[in-house]
Amino acid sequence: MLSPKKVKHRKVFKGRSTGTAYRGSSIAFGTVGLKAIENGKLTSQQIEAARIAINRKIKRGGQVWIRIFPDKPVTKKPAETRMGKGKGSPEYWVAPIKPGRILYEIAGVDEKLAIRALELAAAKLPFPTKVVTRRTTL
Amino acid sequence: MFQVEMSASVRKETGKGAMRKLRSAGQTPAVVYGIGDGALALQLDTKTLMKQLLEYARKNTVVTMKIEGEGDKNVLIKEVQTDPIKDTLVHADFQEIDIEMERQFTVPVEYVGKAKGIDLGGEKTIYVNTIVLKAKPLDIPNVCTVDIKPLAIGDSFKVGEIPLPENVTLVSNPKKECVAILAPAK
Repeated sequence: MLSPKKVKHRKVFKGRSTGTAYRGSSIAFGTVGLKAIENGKLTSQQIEAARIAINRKIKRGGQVWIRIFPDKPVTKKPAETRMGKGKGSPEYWVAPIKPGRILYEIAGVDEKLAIRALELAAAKLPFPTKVVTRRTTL
Repeated sequence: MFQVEMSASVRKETGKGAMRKLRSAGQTPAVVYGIGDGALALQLDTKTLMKQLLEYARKNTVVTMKIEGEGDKNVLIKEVQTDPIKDTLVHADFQEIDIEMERQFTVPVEYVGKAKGIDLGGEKTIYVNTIVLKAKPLDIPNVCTVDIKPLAIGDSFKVGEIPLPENVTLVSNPKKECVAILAPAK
């Protein structure tokens, strides 16, 4: 699963997600892409699950690009622990997503198949998305 | 070079509120600048503009902009702003050009045919997908086509060997290899 090799700080603030994605909001590599239309966070497990769903549908034909990377650590306190005593330990990694962000792109397969693969991937994600094609978007 | 006609009218209002009203009325704000002093604010029909931009925005295109009361201008599509969520048009920038003056353009390179070397087990490796050319805008080709049929294993094609039309000069490095047929990896 995706995670950074090295980080400057092991634990970071939770933060708030506002605004829309301007960078990474258009198809750059493939012909069909999956775009987030709401705020959210994608864990590395979710990113991997969606990637596997795409690859199983397109049967390893074509090429898939993952346009996001989970570089933010999320901490968790152990079970049955009283409050206080400092911040918990890093548990998993997330990619903060703003609406408009392209998550996956596909090229080299039939457009209908690529759209179906991305719809299957969308079912693995925790927020609404839409499929966009290079043919119909600028 | 592709050529297309667009019609526009001069826009007098500016600012967020007025532009939101304009967009909801089916018009897209745009601007043209480049030759002469200052920029000229325009408005175009969104549906027609979107249809034309989908076809030409990613290609080298000279647009003949027919502006009501201002005459015709030859322009290039400089920048298109879209809404990141709805993918609708927000604004378009056009740059006015003199079609008699030479300019640099990035032109795609297309490789056609099946090389001799591929039948013998070689692998085609493409190093260059676009080249930079300098010429008058209307002399620029839409695409540069390279026939790779004669290439055997170990042969390569250099950027300088790409056939170009008259009056067009190459700006990219002519010594750079653009495609090669490599021996199969053992």
